[in-house]
Amino acid sequence: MKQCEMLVIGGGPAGLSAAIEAAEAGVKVIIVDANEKAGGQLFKQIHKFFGSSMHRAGIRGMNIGQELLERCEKLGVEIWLDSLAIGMYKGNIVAVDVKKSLTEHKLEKIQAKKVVIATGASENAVRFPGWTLPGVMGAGAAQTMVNFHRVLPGKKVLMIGSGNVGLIVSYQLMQAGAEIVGIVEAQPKINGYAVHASKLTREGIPIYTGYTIVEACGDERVNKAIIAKVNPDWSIEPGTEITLDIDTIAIGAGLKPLIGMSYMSNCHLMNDRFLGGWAPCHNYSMETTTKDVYVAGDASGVEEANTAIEEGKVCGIAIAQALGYLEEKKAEQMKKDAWGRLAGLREGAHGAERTAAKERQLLEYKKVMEG
Amino acid sequence: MNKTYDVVIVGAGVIGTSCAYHLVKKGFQVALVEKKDLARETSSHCDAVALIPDKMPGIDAAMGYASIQRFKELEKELDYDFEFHQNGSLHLCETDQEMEIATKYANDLIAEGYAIDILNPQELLEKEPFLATDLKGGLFSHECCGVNPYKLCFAFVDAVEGKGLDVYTHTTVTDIKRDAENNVVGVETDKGILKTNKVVNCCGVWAPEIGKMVGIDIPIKPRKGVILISGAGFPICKQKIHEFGYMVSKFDDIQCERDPEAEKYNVAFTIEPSAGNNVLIGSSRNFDGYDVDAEIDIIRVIAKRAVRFLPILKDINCIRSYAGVRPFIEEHLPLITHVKEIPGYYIAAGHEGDGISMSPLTGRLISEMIAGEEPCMDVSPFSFSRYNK
Amino acid sequence: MKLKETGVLTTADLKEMGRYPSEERMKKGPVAVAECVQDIPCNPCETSCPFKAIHVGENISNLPNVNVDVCNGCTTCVAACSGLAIFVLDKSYSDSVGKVSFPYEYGHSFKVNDVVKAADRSGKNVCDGKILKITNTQKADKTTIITLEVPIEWVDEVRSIYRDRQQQLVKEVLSEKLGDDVMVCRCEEITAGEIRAAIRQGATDITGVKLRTRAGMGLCQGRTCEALVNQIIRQELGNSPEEIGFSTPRTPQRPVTFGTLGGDLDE
Repeated sequence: MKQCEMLVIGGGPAGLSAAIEAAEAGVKVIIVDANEKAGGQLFKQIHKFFGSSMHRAGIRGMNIGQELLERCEKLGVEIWLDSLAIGMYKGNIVAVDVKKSLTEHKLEKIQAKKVVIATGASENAVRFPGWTLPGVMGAGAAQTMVNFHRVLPGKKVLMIGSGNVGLIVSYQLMQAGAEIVGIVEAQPKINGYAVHASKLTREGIPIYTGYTIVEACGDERVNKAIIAKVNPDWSIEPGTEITLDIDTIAIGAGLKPLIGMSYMSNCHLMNDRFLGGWAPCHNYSMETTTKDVYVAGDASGVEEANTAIEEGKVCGIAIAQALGYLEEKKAEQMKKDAWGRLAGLREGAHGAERTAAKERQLLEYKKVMEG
Repeated sequence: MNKTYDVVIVGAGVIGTSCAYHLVKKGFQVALVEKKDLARETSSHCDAVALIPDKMPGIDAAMGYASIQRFKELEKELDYDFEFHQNGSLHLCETDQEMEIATKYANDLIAEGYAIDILNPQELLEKEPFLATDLKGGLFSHECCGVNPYKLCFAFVDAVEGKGLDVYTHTTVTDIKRDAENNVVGVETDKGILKTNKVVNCCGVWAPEIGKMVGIDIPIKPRKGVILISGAGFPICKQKIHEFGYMVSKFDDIQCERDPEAEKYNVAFTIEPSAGNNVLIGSSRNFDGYDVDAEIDIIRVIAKRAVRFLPILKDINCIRSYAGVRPFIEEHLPLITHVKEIPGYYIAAGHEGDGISMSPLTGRLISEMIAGEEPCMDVSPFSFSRYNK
Repeated sequence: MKLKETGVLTTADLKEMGRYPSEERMKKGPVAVAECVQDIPCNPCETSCPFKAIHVGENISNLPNVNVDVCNGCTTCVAACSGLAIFVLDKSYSDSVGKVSFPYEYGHSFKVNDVVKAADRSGKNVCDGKILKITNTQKADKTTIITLEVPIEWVDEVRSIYRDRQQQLVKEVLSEKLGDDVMVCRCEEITAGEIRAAIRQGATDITGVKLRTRAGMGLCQGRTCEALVNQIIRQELGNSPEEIGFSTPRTPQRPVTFGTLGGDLDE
């Protein structure tokens, strides 16, 4: 069984940042990542990020990803690619299915003094007649296809959901040459940032607020979508149906934290809709109710890449401190700075609810630990 | 709440639901109290077969046989489909030594009248073409059957709920009330009191907790078993298959040499096809308290054993694993009994891995005891008084 | 302001908020307008401006304020804005035509002097425009800035290049598909009707539905259908998320072959 000081599950923005912060202090880190390339969602985020200069604002996500990977490499962080953590067990033992070649896989067991769960989130499905037809997919999946694998999922795309994911992916599909036939939003208002919406509307993309998808039609694959106005009680307003010629439906209906590792390591989970549902509660060091198990990024509640980066940093600092690589005073100051940057990112129109939800997580941790 | 019942059953696993069914059938007003929900613990964390060749000749095998007959009747009695199927079972022998023991053992069962074939390696492969080719032979039992364990619980409840049975899920029993003479007078729960003169403790591995409430020590220990599930695909086996070494993990008095890694966690290969077109692969037996984590080392050994017997599994996906705790009892005999020191207190627990197959019989025996009828078989081996010597 | 319903900001909205440069200022020469009216935690406009003409302040969620007296319309901020919400307007050019500079991140084959159809904030073609400049700086990191010459009355409206979209809207009567036919668990092919039947039989949570229907027992282990089952239970019974629970995560988190699981370990 492989032994290490710190094991990070998931090499996205949270995991990489945790690893960098800890490795800089001298911690020996292994990252396991299920994909062929680390970086998580960063390499499909070809847009420039919000934030301030200390959050790398104005830099495209993919470039941030590259920067994080280079830092890891320089610091000697061991990154296992094609390595899927299949479970976590007593004694901080993680089992990993490692792809050795096209045909060979091997099971590895890693035991770590500290484990960071940075497994991210998965996409939510929406149920409507025809949602299982080929051509209906998650917005995140469409984004992976177009930005990572460079495959256009379709030529005429209907986007369900006007959150930032729906808006950004629509924009990027257009950049790649697809036509966005429309964006459907059941709420009366656009969910994401108006600037993202405006980028689309000035290209003539209709945003159907107060509409829902009624049905996806097609035999072999989806070729039509029927949308209609929804009443406040979610019923369809008869006579408002519109049929759209499309070949792809992308669903941006939000994300939910991946809780597999947290559940299996016995972390106390709580449900909060502002964080995407079930997620582990944690303390100021991002440590869960299970000692030595930390969590960062979407796995601790769905937010965005730059909050994931800061949460990852908190983990890395806290672990370096706990393992004796950082003196307490310095570590506490560094954590304080990171929390300050997090507070900055959680300000504004979309931040208040998340800030409150994050506070509930900290409170719940306290409640659980105090019995 | 605050109602009066003829009988209150604590625990809605397969034993509790079967007792509920059989008692209502005899005309009793019954309450079934469950801390969680129907079939949430052992009865949905197991595989479920009623077998002959995993029982010792004698009373054990007789009960296995009686259970199979009873399942056949229940399939007709109960509306809810519990996926009953009778397609026999196969036991595999890995070594000549195992084959020798198996043959002798099979002959004993055949002598008792059970339909068992002793197969040579060739015949084995005819039955299951994907088996490893180096096996020494095996046993085929015609009468073995399978059911879906948690659906069996639903079926028992479905048949009688509202017709004499009230089900209280998410209700925790906090005390068993007795009068000055120690007679049971009620069951106290976190939602109120149920008045009754008869309570049946059907809590499986948790039976000792309900025992403590009346000051008795029920010597049941949780014994963990892990099961792996394959992704759905083409049928890789037609019936339940076990390695004969299974017998060894169950009964310590059959001596036989086995894989040392398998020995550590008492792992023996079992496989059964499910209604969802996938397979359930087991199994292990180890003591680890009430913990139901499926540890990676147990999973590894089960997978290794499975590939050893069915090499085709090497490239088939495992999509899930789970562990359940079985109510282990030293003597390998369940408690199906009235506790005479506490008039009105019954126990039906401690079946370990035989709970599903013995549930119909157990429910029937309890209902006969409570009705004051002569039980359909000798119940003295299952009596709690065996600890008072 | 209808921005949240339509995604379209109007010049009138901006003027009302006092966030639009005066006619007088625009007539003096190029000036930036930040069409950013939501408090987004973001400040590259401020930090990118070589003349310190944009102020956001310590709280990066503040709206950017352009100091029109300092701004000279250099367009650095146009490329720096992560929301692509800054434009440079110029009505000093002549009495009849003005200039609009906007960010453009689409593949294109435009050349300087091309005459293109110009689009307003809603994507409508409002006039023609002549391309005066196409700027690609390294600092702008692939955000092109296009400067269009447009009739002066359209400077306040033009924000992009029109794209021809063949949008056909057909009214159609709904097919009367019963909600019960809709698939919920695609791995095990379980419909909403089967889920509802399980709830009628007594299931009150994810596990109860799963045991009765197999929804969530398939290849994805409930990752996809869990939220859908949750929604149906909530609709039928009004249970809380805590009561409904979730699909218990188990080993392996993703499918793995028995061969890999049972393979030898390195010691």
